[in-house]
Amino acid sequence: MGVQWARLAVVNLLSGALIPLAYLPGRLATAAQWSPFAGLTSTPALIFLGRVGGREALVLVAVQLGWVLALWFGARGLWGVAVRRLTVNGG
Amino acid sequence: MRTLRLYPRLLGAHVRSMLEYEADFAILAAATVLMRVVNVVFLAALFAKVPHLNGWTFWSVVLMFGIVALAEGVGSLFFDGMASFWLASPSPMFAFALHQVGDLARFPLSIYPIAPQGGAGPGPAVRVHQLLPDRLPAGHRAVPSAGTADPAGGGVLRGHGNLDLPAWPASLRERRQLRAGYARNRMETSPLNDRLPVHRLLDLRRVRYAF
Repeated sequence: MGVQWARLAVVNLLSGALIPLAYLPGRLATAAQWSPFAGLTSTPALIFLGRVGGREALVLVAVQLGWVLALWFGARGLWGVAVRRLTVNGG
Repeated sequence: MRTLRLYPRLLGAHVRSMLEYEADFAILAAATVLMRVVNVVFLAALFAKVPHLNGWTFWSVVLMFGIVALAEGVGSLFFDGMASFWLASPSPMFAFALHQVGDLARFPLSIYPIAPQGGAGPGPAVRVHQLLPDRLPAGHRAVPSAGTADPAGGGVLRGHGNLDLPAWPASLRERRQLRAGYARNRMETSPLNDRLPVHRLLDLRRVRYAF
């Protein structure tokens, strides 16, 4: 439950759901824009509002795609390690 | 009055269950702090762009946010689920309400999950040691209880000291040891949880499982 809450807090801020990422203080804004969370709210919002044009939009989507691949295989690897150390009593 | 007597017990049980997994407890505490920090960052970012929002400044909003957060904290620390707990007076609504809201009110069902949810309906009195016949960890005895006949004939869960449980271990190390032993025994419910004398609690309320 704690992890869930922490995730909610981080995602809300860094995805731009609370406030547009450009409004965040300097470095945080840059970090948030390149983070995987930006793809949740910020990227689609920027594209739909016409704030970013063709090429920039493509770059944003490409970054998102890169994160998808990285996180997919990262999560699979982590899961593999975790399952080896997991014991379940009962069900 | 009954509710008043139950309240500290449920609160204690709630705290104990939260503390059962210490790492999870720490993560939850840290996450709560993080939530507040994120909210303040949001306000700071907003007011950096708009210094005056219809007369409100950053600090006045932060003050108000702090007061609300404080009230919320006190509320969820001491009174989470109190309303449904109080509404759930001894009636079929009791069981229904238990499923609704709040961590405090969930206790009686979540600790002995088999007891009230079996759909047994009105029937013979249910005793905790019957529900957990040979599942008690080493050092716990199932004590046969005195007669629990209910004059009304309903399935009333009554407390007669059915579970002879050890004292709540005071130190962190003792708790860890107990938990490790529990994991070795492949028990489904931790003996730490069983410290709550649910049966007596239910007896106080004279709950009738009429469903």
